[in-house]
Amino acid sequence: MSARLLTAAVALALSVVGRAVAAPLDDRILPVDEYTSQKARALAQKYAPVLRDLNAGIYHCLPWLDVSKESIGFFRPKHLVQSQDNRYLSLRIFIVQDRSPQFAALTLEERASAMFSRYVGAMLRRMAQRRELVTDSLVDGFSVIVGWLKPTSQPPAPPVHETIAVFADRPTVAEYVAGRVSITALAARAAVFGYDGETPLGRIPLRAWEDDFLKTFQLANDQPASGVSCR
Amino acid sequence: MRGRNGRLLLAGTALLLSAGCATTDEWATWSQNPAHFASIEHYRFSVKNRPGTSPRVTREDLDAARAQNWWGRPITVRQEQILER
Repeated sequence: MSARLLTAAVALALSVVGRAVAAPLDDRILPVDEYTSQKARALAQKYAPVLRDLNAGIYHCLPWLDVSKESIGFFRPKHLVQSQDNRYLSLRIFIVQDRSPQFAALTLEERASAMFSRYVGAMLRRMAQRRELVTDSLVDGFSVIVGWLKPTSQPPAPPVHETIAVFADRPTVAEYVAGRVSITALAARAAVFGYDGETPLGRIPLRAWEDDFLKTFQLANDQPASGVSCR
Repeated sequence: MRGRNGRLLLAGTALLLSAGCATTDEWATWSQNPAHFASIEHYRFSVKNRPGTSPRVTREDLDAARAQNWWGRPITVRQEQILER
């Protein structure tokens, strides 16, 4: 399975225009008073500028990524021991992409592997741009939740999403962003859970590879808002 | 012959009626969305972009489509299934 195959899957039909006046919505970030622990509130306050930058960066530079309401913050993964207040910097994104027969022909594990390879590493690097986050002992790890339209989902039936939830502890992410761990090793160390619509599929095996799509892809007719720099 | 025609008419009517029946959930969805378009923004977007042409989509269109569920409420995992606050 090559990177070109997934590139074809993301050959967007959209030409996004007129973003100069648009601004990211603050409600993508979970408000401080919505957390259930003091540790989480402290993290949310301390890193509020980081969360805002993460939200704005995706909004301006990756407009085909949809960040839904209250999906950026320091959440507690449900699969971990609940007696401990493990706090992971979490981001949930939905990939808006054109339909592709090649992508549809893959198995769910293959689609998940392709999405992991394309988006998870890149999102972790964005989330850990402030190096303090990967050395702060209060931050237990990072999670990236990636969703996309299930290829068999067709109107007029309601759209069904496939989702992977990826959890990696802080030392692993620190090594990854420092370049000491490959994306393949990251996939092996991370806990990855799959979902078909609302149905949990449990942990799913992934095969990950380097994918530089986000470094090279440019959306047609898209110009970042004035004053915004996208790398 | 007359009786046979009557039975055919009755069966056809019953078939049409049963085929046209919506479930409770479908009626609930219909009553929440009595118009073809989810909102005036959805209508304007559809009028602006005709089938067969390259669509012009603004960021505001994307935000409105998401907020107003232009293409239906997606079936997806709830965040609370994965994460706690």
